[in-house]
Amino acid sequence: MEDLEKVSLLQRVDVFREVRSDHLALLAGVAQELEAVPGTVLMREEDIPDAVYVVARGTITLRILGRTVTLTEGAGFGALGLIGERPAMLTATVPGPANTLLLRVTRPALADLLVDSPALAVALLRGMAHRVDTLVAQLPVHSPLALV
Amino acid sequence: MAAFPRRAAALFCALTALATLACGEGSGLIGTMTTDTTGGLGGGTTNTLLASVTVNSNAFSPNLVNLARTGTVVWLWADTTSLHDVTFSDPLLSSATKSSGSHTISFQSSGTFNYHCTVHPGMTGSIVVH
Repeated sequence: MEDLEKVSLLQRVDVFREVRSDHLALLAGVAQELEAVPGTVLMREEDIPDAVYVVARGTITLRILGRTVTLTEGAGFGALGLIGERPAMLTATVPGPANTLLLRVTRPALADLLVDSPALAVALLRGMAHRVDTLVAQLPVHSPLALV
Repeated sequence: MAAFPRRAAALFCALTALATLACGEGSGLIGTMTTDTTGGLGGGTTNTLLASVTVNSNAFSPNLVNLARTGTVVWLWADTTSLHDVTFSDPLLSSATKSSGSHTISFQSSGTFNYHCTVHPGMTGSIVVH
């Protein structure tokens, strides 16, 4: 996969939405390509993610709080758990029948970029704030979590 | 009016988390490479084939993994109530005996690689790399 294609995928991920294109190019440079076979478990809810994943081709099934969500091309997962160093709260598997192609940005790779590029850290913060806003907006008005 | 404190709290948490990220290491699944003959899970433009095997109470699931080419297999411990290991004839490929976590191996050549759990003699599996 060309770096330009990787950039195009990365910029579709919520937490990377505020990241400048030159920083996206840096992320693309460290992003690994994985082709996961059906049945592969990429993330478990009780484990702390070690990477952010972006679906490049195929699908991923997420199990979140008893619900099942299907991710397709351009969708990402694992960012909040990775950055927060907390359990993923989701299980991600490759449903098949075909292999799924993913981009993977690891914790050490992302950390190195953040140290070198404070502007990237700020952009990532903005992206996370947007992501949190999106999640809070989805909470019921009477939810106790809405008071946090 | 409650939106601002919520956002401020979220931003504070995010700042703290980012500061932590720049300093710490995680304990994720695939990142904990115990054996890696390729120097990492892909990198740059390499497309790494990936499969996983769940370590259950008395069986590896699936117990047969077919890789169309060289690739990486991750064993994920699901049974946390008893000890298991992934033992190959080559000790360099084998895991520790444990009740949680993962074990990752990158297979660099084609062939059939049989393994078993030394704690549970009937617990066996194979990786076939084509």
